Amino acid sequence: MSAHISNSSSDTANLDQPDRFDYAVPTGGYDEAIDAAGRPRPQWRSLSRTISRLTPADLLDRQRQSDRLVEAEGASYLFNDGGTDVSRPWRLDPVPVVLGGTEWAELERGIAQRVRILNAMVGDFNGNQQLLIDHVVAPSAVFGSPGYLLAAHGAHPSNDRWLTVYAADLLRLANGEWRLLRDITDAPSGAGYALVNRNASAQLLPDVVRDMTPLSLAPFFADMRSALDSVAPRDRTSPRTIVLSPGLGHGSYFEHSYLAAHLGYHLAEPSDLVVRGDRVWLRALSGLEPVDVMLRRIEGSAADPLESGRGTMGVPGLARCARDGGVGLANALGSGVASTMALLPFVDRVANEYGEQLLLPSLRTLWCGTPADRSEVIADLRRFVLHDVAGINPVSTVFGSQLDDVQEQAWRTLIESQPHRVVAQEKVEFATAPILGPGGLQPGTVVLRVLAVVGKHGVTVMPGGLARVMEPSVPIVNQMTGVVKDVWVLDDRPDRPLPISTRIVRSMPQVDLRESLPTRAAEAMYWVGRSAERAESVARATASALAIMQGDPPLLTVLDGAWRRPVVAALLALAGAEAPLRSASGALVDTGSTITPEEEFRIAVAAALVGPSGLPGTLSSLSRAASSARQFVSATTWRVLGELENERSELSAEVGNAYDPGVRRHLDTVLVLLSSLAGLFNESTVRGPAWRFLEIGRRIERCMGLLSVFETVVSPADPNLRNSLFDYVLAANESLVAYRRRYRSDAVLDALVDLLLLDDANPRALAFQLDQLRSQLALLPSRDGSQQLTADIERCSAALIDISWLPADADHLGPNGRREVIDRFVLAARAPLLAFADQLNVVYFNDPSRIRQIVGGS
Amino acid sequence: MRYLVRHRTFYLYGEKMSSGQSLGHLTPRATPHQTVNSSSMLVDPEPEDRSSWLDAFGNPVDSFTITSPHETLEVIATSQVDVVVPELQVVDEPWETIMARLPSGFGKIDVDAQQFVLPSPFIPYLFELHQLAKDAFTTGRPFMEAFQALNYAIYDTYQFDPSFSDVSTPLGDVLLHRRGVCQDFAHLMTGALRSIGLAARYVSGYIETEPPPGETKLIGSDASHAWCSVYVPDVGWIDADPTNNQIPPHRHVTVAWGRDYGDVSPLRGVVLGPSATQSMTVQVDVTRLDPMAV
Repeated sequence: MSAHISNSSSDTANLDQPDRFDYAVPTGGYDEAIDAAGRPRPQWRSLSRTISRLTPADLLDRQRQSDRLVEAEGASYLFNDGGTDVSRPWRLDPVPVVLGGTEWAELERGIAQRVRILNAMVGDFNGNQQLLIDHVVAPSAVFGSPGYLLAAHGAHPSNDRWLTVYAADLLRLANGEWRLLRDITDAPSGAGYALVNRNASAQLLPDVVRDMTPLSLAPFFADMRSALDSVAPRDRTSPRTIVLSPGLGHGSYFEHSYLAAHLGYHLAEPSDLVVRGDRVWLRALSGLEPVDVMLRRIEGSAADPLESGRGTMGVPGLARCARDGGVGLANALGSGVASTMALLPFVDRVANEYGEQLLLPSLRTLWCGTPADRSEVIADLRRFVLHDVAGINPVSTVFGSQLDDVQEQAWRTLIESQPHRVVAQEKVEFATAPILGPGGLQPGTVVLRVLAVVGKHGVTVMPGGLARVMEPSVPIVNQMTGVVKDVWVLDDRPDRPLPISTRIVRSMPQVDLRESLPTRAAEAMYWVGRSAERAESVARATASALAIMQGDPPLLTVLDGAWRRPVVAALLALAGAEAPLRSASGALVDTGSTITPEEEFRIAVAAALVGPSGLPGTLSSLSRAASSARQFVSATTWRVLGELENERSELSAEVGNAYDPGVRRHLDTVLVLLSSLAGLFNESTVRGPAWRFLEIGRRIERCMGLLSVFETVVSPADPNLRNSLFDYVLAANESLVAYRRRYRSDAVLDALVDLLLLDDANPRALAFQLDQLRSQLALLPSRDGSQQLTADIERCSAALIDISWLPADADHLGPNGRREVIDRFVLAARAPLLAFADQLNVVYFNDPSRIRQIVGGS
Repeated sequence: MRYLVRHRTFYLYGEKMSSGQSLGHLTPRATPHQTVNSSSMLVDPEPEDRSSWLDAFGNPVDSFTITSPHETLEVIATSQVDVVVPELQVVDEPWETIMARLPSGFGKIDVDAQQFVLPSPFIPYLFELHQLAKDAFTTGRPFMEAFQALNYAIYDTYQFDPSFSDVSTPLGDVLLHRRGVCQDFAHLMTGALRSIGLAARYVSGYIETEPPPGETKLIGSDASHAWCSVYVPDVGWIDADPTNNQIPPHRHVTVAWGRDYGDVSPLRGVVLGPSATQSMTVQVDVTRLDPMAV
């Protein structure tokens, strides 16, 4: 049906040619968007008509919107295949690559066939190796593959399914034909990124999407779920699946966390899992919960420290458990053997061996382990792109033509001494696609990452994918560019199968997911709560200080800094920064220069707003924690975090002058955003155990903030300046209005203690926090040592009772210039809270005394 | 020859570990020249789970999990084996012929051998290894003569020095300082053979502790020992012990073989617990039994 729409629109286009957009290809090779005559290809017409109406400024504006949308998902970096954390900034070019349905169907058939052949090939390599015995594949290409795992030998995955997830990089040649550049078979990435791109591009070009109706990605993910279910060990009727990620440092961590949340699976890291008996178990709040299937996103070679011998990475015993059929892995251990480019020249021979003809050929690839290939490569290195395939990733790749004499000699030596490591691909001309740059649309090269899953009903290829934009002077495998384009496949085939909505997708509820909470997510939620609260304290304390100071500038110098010093101390304490050391003369100890009061105040504001432990550090802890618990936070959270990040960077730019009105304006926005975050936590988070840990984190942090301000400001407050200092304390704790309404007086100590410490109806008061902590604790499962947590809260409460009997002279400064009653209280209340935080860690999170150690070979 | 082998490993962790998982290559494998009559493994504290299987090379593997808190771990592997010393094969073709024949072989054993031609994690390709090999494997030299020359060269030039190296010492350091222990020499010889295109594997095992009357005590007899084996198509695997300059090695008991030490380390594990200084003691006793008396 949509085919008709695009046809009819192209008919109108013929009349006045409004779809000739400002884009030309000089080379004369195949271009995705325009044909040899310079006319838009049929599948591009609706898109090119829209683009032709946009000015270069409009296009750049779309780019900015696109950046915002990607950022709103909590993703600012694109994946890399290596797993090293060299992340590249992720930019979505708003102009997609559009492919016609008929052409796509052909690619789909090619990919599906390839996945079947590779699956059988991997099974053979990890089994009886008939392909090697029959001289179909050279043994060194297999044994030299970094993905070849001894631990995979003798495994029999359910349904012989080695590959459940597959990815490939494809290129279109200048003559219009597609070629495969490489296979990615161990733990391929890209599906989550494609989904984020699609969500963004659908918002960037809504009318075009409506008009062209690119095939939806949703069915692919439904198939992925059912494909994962089907690798479960045979006896598990309602399998429990998790996503296994190496953790936050991994380059594709965003995708691991995003996919887990999208598919509705728990995200786990190796230390969250244990093998006991014949099964894998997940550490969760309720104890150990069984796991049946893992979407494995850690490299096969790092999956099990007992059998791969690479440090402490991985889950000890996993390889045996998988071999014995105790857990289903997607992909199975040993699947990575097929990722090596050294096998590319053999895949068509393998296909022939299985009686098939490859539909999707790879780029012509030579492997120096084969004498004939070696001679051809040695004859002229300059004709080739050379790959050293010994490392798992990144493959080290160069253009032969760019080598100097020394480098060329080094490659020749490598080819001679270790020929199995060198793969060469002929340099070829590629097709072009329009890429949005500063000057508008320019022709460029894209590499298409296609993804497939294999389930009970065969191979499903994602209708779309990622088109990565290439930097022409760098070999493709080494590309670090993070610019991608969405890929649209048009539904313009008459014989298209029915859309997914008519297929029955069954997914049984797994365990009771409302109550299931992995230990790691519990800890992450706790830190989400703490960091959000801390960010708010920092922002509010700074905004209040600026407001009061700007309303009454002499406060900075009055009474030898009696107002300034405590406020500076409060800000530095929140920022986790040290006060600048001064000598008696007022000179800074480390620089010898004196600083003015203004300068001192500015330093404190800067420490809070741009210092590493101030607002920026707190916000990045918040994002990290939220990405470890993505499944439990509302999706809107990422939008708020993205906007917070924008405000933060604006603040960094303007903080040079703390008096700039821009600083307060941005701080106000930050506070509004943090309040909306708090709103999301309260209104969009299910009240389960995950929320309870978030709440506990928030409450604990608020207690700590209160005690800190009592210590730094209330205790040493000069009686002559009590009003402006106590106003500051109240404002920093969002209680100034309540105070004025209730007491209608200047601030006095006992009223301050009453409102900020004792009042169990004030959500900013310490008593209120303790009540909340008590009620949340009561709802957590009881564990060894959990009664200690309640005891800690009661000890803190006892300190509160003590201070409710303020002696008559409580407001008097002692000989050290401080209020002893307050200092004693702060000490008595803080110790149990610190103990509480430690104990929480021991009881519910990862016990810090359980460090993983390798005990090595005798 | 009948031997009783007792291999005791004792870990003192210095702190209470909450759990631990271990994997060992401690049970001798059967070979064309070795029969394993019995074997057993005692573990203290008693593991919650135990399992045994054959790895990709056919070596027996034992693994166990301890889930109760423990400060020490003791593993005693005992086995009784019958060993015959293989006859020395006559292989007087030029070594290049042997090397060239390798990739053209058909059949499982030839394919299996080819996984031992490439470098491996503990034995990277090093130019010095290639030189070491080429000094013995001169052009056209009969294979066995060259093989013996390489074995002797390592025995003669490298000093046995247990204080010099441990399992993490890179092979390059061993080459540079010309000292090391039997694992290092086995790696050297294996790597040298691979660097010229031959298939060579690392063999882990033991040597008889007390020499028979009239013979000298061999180096490496109080701990795990290691040597090297090379593949000759149509002939089979030929062992050499460069630490003791023996071809074929005699008074040796084979436990396991692999690409290098990493594939067959006697015992390794992962424990969870506070970090502390651990210590390990290993005792190996290989006693000759009178077959008539058993």
